[in-house]
Amino acid sequence: MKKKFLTMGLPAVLLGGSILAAAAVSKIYSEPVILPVSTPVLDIVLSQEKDSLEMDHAMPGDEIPNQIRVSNKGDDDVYIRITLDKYWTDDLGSPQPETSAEWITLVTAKPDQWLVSANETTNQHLVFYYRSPLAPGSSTSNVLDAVKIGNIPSNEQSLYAKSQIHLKATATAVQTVDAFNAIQNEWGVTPVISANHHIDDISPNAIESMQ
Amino acid sequence: MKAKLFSLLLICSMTVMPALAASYPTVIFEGDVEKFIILNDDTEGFGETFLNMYPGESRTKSFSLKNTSDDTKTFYLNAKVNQDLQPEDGTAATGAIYDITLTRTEQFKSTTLFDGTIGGANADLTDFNNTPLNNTEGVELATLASGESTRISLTLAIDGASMGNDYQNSLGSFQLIFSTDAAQAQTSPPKSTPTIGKTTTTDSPTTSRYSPVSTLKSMTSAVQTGDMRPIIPIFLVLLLSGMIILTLIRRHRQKS
Repeated sequence: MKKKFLTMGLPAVLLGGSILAAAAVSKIYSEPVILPVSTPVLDIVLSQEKDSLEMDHAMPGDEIPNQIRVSNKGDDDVYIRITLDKYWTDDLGSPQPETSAEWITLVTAKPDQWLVSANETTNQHLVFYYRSPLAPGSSTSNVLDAVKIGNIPSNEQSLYAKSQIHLKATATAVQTVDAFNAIQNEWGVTPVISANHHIDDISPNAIESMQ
Repeated sequence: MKAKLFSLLLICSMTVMPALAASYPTVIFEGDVEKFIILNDDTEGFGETFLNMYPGESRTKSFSLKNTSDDTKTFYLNAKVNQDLQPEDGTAATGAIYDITLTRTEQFKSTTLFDGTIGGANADLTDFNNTPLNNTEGVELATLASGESTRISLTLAIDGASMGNDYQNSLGSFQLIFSTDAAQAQTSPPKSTPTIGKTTTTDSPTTSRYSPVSTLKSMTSAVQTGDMRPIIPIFLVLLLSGMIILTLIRRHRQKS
């Protein structure tokens, strides 16, 4: 009797146990639903007529046309920031430290469309923010239409003889989605963005201004 | 007049109703075959909701979950990163972190089922206490009686603070797996009591305001059989049975 149980009963019990164990942990799973995630790319183009302006026969008060603007070649709206460095160089392109960028005046036809960041701007280095989001396929107004030679005092004018004005423009763009954080992270400033998505004001980031 | 009204109603029912019915993909548990069937019967489906997302952007995909089996069933959802966000130029993977929220909406009342992350160091669902969900089922979505359905919303945001320009033009993917218990009738159907509870009231689901651009790349994954039950315990019991049977046969031969 005992032998019969061992040869037939025990395997049957173990087999039943395995079936029960399988049932206890049995789950039905779906096929995986694969969800792709991707990020877009921003694409802007900076247009500048000339980066170096020769001053042949130019006099204080003269304006030399030179247009700078940015176009959005991407698929989404962006905010635009332009930094502009202006300085005098000699005829070989080397900066002239004894000269002053104060006498290089920038002429902008539509200045109200640009916000000049006072905290980031000096005589030589200027930072502009385009107030409106820039739509795909469109361009900003000119951040610069012309350069005007300031009224250099007569006793300093010899310093500027044969000099050239050099303009170095750099443009960057950030996303308009989650724009407040994007501008803080990428440009290091805190914007005030109105309900119509215009940048009304720019101030230094709170942490930076405490330093 | 009545005929005109009837015609108008008929036209409405033929145009508006199918459009409403096709608003969400539907995940159906089909009782006859004991399988999940996923219907992407709208133009977007599950697939393109999260394309071209900006850092810090949040998007939501809603879907219907329906139980057509004869039994009351509890449904679960697990999610994990399938492929890390990687720039198209093939540079190293970026370890992006996604914030993920699952909510259930019933009669304008939304209940948060899960609020945490996937990605980064943990590819699996991780709650905001940084504790990974170690169960294979994941988050309990709902317990549905036979024929009952509910609406689930999945909100995904790419973490903005940890992302820079390196993340431009990147592609990755994550996967969802639904599960339920195999045919085991539950005699007392619990009525929709989600476990984690932050309850808010909404009048409509959040919808994506983004028009997806067709940059979907072909994705590959391992062949899935759909049967993901653990086989190790079963295998061990069978192995033990075989060993005992062999031992008994050997003893029987020795005696004879």
